[in-house]
Amino acid sequence: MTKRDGTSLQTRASEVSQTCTSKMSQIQINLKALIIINKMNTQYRNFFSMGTRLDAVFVNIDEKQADILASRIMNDLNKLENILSIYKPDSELSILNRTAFKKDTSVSPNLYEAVSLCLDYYKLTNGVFDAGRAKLTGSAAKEKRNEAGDISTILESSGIGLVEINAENNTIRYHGENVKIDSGGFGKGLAMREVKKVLISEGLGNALISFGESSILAIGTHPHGSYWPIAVEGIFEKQSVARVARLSNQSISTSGTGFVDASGIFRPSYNIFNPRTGKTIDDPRTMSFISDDPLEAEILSTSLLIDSRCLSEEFNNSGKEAFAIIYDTNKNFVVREIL
Amino acid sequence: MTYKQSRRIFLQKTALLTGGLFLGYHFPDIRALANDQDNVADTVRLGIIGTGSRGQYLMTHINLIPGIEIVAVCDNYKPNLDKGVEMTGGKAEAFTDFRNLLEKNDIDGIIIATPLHLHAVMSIDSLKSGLHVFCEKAMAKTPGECLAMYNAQLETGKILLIGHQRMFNPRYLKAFEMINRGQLGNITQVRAYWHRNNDWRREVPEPSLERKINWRLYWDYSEGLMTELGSHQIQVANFIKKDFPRRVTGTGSINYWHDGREVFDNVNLVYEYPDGSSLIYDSMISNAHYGYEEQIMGPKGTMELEAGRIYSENPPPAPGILQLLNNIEHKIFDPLPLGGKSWIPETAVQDKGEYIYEVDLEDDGTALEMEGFAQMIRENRHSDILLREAYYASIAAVLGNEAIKKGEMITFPEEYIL
Repeated sequence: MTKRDGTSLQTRASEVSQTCTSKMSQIQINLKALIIINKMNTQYRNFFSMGTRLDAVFVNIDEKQADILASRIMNDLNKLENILSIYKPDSELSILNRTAFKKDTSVSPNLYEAVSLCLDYYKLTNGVFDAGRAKLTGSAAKEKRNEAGDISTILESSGIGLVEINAENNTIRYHGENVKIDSGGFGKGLAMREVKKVLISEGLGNALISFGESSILAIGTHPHGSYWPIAVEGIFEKQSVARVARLSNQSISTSGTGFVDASGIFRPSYNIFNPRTGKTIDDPRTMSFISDDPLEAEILSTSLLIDSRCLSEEFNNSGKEAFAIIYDTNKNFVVREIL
Repeated sequence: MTYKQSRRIFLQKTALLTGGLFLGYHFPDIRALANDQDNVADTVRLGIIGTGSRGQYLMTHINLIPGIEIVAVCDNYKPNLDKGVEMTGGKAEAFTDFRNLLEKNDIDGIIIATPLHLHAVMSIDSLKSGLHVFCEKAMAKTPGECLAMYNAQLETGKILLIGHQRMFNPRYLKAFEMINRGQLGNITQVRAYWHRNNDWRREVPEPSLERKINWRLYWDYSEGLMTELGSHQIQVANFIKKDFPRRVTGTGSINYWHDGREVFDNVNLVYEYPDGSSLIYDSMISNAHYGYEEQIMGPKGTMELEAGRIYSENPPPAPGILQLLNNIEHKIFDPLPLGGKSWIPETAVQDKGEYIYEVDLEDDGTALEMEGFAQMIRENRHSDILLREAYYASIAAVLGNEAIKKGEMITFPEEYIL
């Protein structure tokens, strides 16, 4: 009998736990994935949220405070998910997507703000960030794209550009029959904004939040350094660090065009596409964006992945960082500075 | 791994468990196994009634254990009796009537592995003859018989142990301890099933022996799937819930094996516990794809006891996060591999969970249970906890059949609550 699954993350968690216990006070991992490092008062919590996992490391905080904080974050994200999920048929966004064609639809302030932000970023990226084309994403969209007629019809009748918002009465109206807003490109960014608000309001000086690993929020600094060092790795070879981002009160978001399977073959995810043409971006590459605003990092990492020149020249002097990792035919990576 | 090696590891592991809070109420009498089996004080002399397939299975395990001697065997079916004698190397005295065996004055205890309808009479007679008793599960065929057995134990003070070997299975014991510590949270549902794909028949040399050999298929002798299989799993659920179900409803029928049998070939039941949690149970013998399992579910996780796995409701920590925690602890300031593609929950679905118990023992608890019985005899110490477990599980199994037959929700009768 195999005693342990060598690839299991939980097994690795247990191994780390055992190592730590031998020298320090303790590291405990239970089913709540609770880790306490007593000496440093570093607390760890993790949970499922918005279709992925959130890992939180809080520094200089006691266990009870960490529980309260984690619970508050989880509740806030659950509320956000109930508004923005396109996988929940009763979410506010799902209802909006079903009802707003040619009809002014009243929405909550939160959803109104989210859609408003989508319009802002649509303009900022010269139409590259287009959250109104949910019909083109996913595997169903892949099949559609094989039929040129369908694509052109959807392109003409969808897109955030066909969304009208009215600030006076918080209503939203779609002017295209195929307009469907997809929160996939901005939901996690909004979530990380919420997390940041909670951490700051609670006066937490140092923390690191990973939301599905592709979005990282770094508050303050690492306990033993002057920033949080985050390594962005090449996708073909694990532990091949392409760039180390030095974050302090910043976020980094990394978007990619697919994943590498167990046999080392790149598999496009077919969910990154040019909204102007509907054409997917299927070659292996990632784009990382560093910003003090998690939402901006989330949206612009995806936008630049689609079109690295979509931002105006002004961004080059904004103090923000963006870099792409691209691969040659031998799967060797090259880091390209974008900003 | 030999039984002896397995046992040694088991005792090392369970020594840790016995120090925990679990012993307070519900830990099985593994204390009975604490002695060094190579230096047992006295040889326990046993008689075995019923040397058919189950009796032979028990004897196979007993033969592994020092300090137990089978000195008498009894069966009223000659091929089984001959086999029983053979398995003792020809040393055991043979009986065809169990009452004659009970008169033998050089035995300490009796093992009963006969058809269900005989459990009560044989157990009670054995106890009243001054003998300790191990009786195979289920305890008895009716609630009244179960109560009579329980009372006979109280009256005689002799040991009465029922054959729920999972209570001696190290994997189960470890799981019980983890559940008791709250690793799954409050248990809100147990889902258990036992599926086979065979006719559940044994070969019959001549038609007149049909009911004698295939006793499991007829209501006069058996309660079918519920007592032969279900009672094990109900007992596990009860042990985990530290309670017994007060109501049961369900359906059952013969929907495949239309061969003259009387007992159901499929049963589907919902048992309700006082706290509103439930045991959802089914058993069938026309499909074996899912095998058998007990799935224990709470807000923090799930355990599959047969597979020996535990699954967390929380996602596994990100590897980079674990490295970070390790680094902080060791005052290391190194880059953390976190900025990458999104982790998606499909990964969690593929997660095979963690093993509940790291040691693979060949024994399913049967040998340890036999050893435990022998040690209990040496110490003259009965376990009321284990007997109550068997009692309530057996009655619940029988009530399940009653619910099916009547097509009604059946409430656990007050008069059978101990």
